[in-house]
Amino acid sequence: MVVPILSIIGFVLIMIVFIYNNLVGSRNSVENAFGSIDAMLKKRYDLIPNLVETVKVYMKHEKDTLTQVTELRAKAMSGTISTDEKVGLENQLSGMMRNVMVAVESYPDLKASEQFSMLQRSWNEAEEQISAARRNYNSAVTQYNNAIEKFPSNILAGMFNHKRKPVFEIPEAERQNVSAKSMFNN
Amino acid sequence: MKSNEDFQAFYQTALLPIMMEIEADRKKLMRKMKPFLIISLPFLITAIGGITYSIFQTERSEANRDNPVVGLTLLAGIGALLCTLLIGFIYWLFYRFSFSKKIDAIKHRFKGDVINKMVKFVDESLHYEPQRGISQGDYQQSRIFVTNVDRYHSEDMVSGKLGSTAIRFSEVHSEKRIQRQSSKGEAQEEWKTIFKGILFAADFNKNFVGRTVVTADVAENLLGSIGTMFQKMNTARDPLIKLEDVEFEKAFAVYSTDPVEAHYILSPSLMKRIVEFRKKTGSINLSFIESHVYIAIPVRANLNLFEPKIYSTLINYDRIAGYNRYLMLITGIVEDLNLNTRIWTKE
Repeated sequence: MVVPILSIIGFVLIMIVFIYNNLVGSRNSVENAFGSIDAMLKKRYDLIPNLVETVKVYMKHEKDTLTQVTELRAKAMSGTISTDEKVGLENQLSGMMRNVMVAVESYPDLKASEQFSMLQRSWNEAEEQISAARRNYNSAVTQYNNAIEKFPSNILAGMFNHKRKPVFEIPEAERQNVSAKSMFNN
Repeated sequence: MKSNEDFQAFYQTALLPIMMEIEADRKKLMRKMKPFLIISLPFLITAIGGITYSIFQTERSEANRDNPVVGLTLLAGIGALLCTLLIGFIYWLFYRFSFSKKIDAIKHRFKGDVINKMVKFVDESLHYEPQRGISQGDYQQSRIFVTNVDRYHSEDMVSGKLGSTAIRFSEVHSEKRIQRQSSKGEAQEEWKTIFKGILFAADFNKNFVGRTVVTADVAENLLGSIGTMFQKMNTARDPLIKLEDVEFEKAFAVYSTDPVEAHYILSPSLMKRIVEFRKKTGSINLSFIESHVYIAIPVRANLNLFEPKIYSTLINYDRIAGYNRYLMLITGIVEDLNLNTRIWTKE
């Protein structure tokens, strides 16, 4: 009689350890994924000064926009702002840069410039990497949320205060990064 | 992309005349091989008939053992058998020193003239080398198959550049040796196929440093979340990655050294494209390693691509059109997976 009871208790204990570790692992991978978005954003920030310098020479009418871009970048990188603010700034900055890239259309000399073309490629790459990092974050969050809500791990999740995390909303404009491609092919 | 009608016209004007010539050679060879069969056939029939008749008679009644008719039939049977073996031996000598060389010459000409033209028809810049193939090193580097290979063969290499994308592919057959004990305790050797089909390698349009392998998802389809658990425990593979495309996730299991990079490579549009491509081929495996993409497309076990038939007529449009479909399918990957889009830093 003792052996079966002990083995049941043993099994339950192993399950608890397994589920607990899985929850912690999932939460850490969410944090890790969030960190990688930051890393990718940083990569894009690094491109901005160069890009602004290059286009400034050609773009006469977008001076204001470019100054704003530089300011926003400085603000976003300052590190004193909250995550929500940062996301807001980030969206603003992305939107502006997208406008700049569209405006390039009216400057054939700029479009033809080798240096700009390389920067534009790097820009596209950075955008794609940021989107990849966000998607990765979302899939980590989805797995974490699944673990929290599915039986039996939801019992442990409640005990150890694991809470649902929100997924990233991918802005509509970013979902259509095809536009960047089509303008590049022109 | 060339249409079926284009190919049909090309077949009539460019391929058929050459194939007629090769077919004439093949027929000439057959005319030399046939007499052996025709002469040996009566002997073989006599041998089988004589021996079985005499065995049957002696089995039926002990008395027949001394029957001279039965004895003579057996003798005739054995004689005929010896004659058959002798003809067989002479045939083997001919085959060894003459026919096999002629068969090789036919194959050589078929590949050099017909298949080569077909490859050029798909794209002028492509290069065909019948003897070469994707090397075993490349095969292993692709990490698509992790089973140890004991025997490896590859042939029919096509390589070249389609637009900005360098590609190469060949037929590949990899096998594993299995040792087992027969019921009598003897060691038996058996060869098990790991992969037979076409291995395609191309330059990918994005730069990356890690390794992402996309395999046909068997475990999850059969076992659901328990299958996923097994996949996570697979030590031969990198960590399992979950992607957001439901249809893609259903068809494939993705393992990668870097989850962000896996998402970067497998963009939503590429996942859709891979799912679409899979509909044309059935089960496929892919890997993305150091800015290259590898795709393994299995081919039916008894189908050896780009070979001429020796013992039946060469003039068979369906077979040739079938080879062409494979060529189109594989070279079409560049278009299907959008590999010529070069908007990132990789040129």
